[in-house]
Amino acid sequence: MNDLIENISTRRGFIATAAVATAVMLAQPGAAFAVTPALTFADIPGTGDVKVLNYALALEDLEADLYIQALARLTKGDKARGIKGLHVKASSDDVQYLATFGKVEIEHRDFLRGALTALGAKVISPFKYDFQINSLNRQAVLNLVYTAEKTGVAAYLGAIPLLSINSPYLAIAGAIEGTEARHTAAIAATLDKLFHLSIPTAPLAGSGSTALSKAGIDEPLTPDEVLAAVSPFIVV
Amino acid sequence: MHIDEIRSSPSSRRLFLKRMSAAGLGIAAAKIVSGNFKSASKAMGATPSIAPSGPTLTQVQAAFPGIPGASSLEIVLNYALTLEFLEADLYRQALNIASRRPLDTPLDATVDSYKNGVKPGFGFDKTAGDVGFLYLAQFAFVEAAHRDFLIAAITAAGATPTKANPGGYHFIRAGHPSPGISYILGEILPLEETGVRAYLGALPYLGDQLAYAQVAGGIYSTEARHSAALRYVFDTRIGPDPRPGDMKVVTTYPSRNTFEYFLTPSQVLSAASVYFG
Repeated sequence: MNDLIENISTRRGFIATAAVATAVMLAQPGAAFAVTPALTFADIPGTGDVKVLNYALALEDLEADLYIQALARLTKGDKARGIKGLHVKASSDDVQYLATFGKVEIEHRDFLRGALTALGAKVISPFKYDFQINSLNRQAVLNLVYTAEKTGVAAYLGAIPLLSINSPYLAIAGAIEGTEARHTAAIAATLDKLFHLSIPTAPLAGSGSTALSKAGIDEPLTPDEVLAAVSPFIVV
Repeated sequence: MHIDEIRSSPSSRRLFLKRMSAAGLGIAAAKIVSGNFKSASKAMGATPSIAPSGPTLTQVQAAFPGIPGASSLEIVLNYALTLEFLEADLYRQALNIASRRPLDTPLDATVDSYKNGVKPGFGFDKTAGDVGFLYLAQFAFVEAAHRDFLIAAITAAGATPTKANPGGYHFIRAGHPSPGISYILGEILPLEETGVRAYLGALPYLGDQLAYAQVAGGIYSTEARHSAALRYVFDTRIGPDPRPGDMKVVTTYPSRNTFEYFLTPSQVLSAASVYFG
């Protein structure tokens, strides 16, 4: 156990030693080990805009890898990663979207990494993710992607107040968030069409309980809320 | 703090450098102060053309021609409200056309009431045309809710919400004898796409009002979702795709659909003027 903690500590050096010392390995079905306690915004390196950029990078990194795994799962699989393929037709809307959106997320990830590198800032290390992808059927894969994109929208919104005043990254974060919103809508529409569901493509007027949700406005999630939601997928 | 002030006043310059260094943007800040915008924007990954950093009231007034307000915040929020008045009313008209109601009919109480009494092909089951009608009905109510939300938010901020255009709004080419849902959505889509670009272009003007920027961002992304959903009715290319006049938040986009595009308030108000009665 000590060796394991040592190993985690080296790989994820940004986590405070105290947090690692109290970390407990959570065995998940399928032999994945999720990070626990969940990451928080305090674990993200940097301050000010750099911290926000690293947070965004961590999420884009997750999304990019999710799309790679999801596309492999829906199509021909990936032997090297142990992903079994479901052989959905390549011309299907969902397969097309996974390929297209996955490329966009990779470009977001690489852009953010480049921006941090250009600043000479500390860049967060990539994680490994386990989405239990082999246990997911076509609908469950798309549901997971939908949830990730929807969370991405909320995460960018939640990060806006953490930017510096008149940050040049406000418009960039917005420009990324808008594409996540489009992806969310398209995946919702695809799920609805394929599986005869009624997931709204956008927040509906009069829904939910807050002033924002009732007005049909996308709501933010704080970084701690988002990181708590994604931590179960991070392998340590 | 405006850029010229930063460069001409020693105290502003020191404060700016301190603030930017604290944010980890020291290199970019030094380049801005030295006037090296091109390389500063490269270091920041941003083009300086989006909005002046910390614009003065005079600059905001000039950037949002004809939009009323005694403060920058009031002007930017009234700009958003100006567009939501337009969108809400054109959606209402579009929904009336699609459901074969008189053009001036107000919205019903709920989306669901549009399930009844619609002509064949405009139902709520899941054929392509029906999904298009469903989106039209849902989004019409959302745009009306955005409008009402902004009126409330502006009032709560102690400011004065602008009024709807006294001459009303024209749904261009509404004279089509019997427009189908594809035709109607085709008329609405450019408006949503302009809405997305309008919010993104206005966002930097809320750079010192980040709580408002967060809410504006939440409205903006619903417009992006609407655009994607409407486009999905036609084909699978859900954007963003560049249109003539579009501006970029960074100099180069890796692919056409990596980042959203924006329009300046002047561009938007000029484009929207065709709808104003």
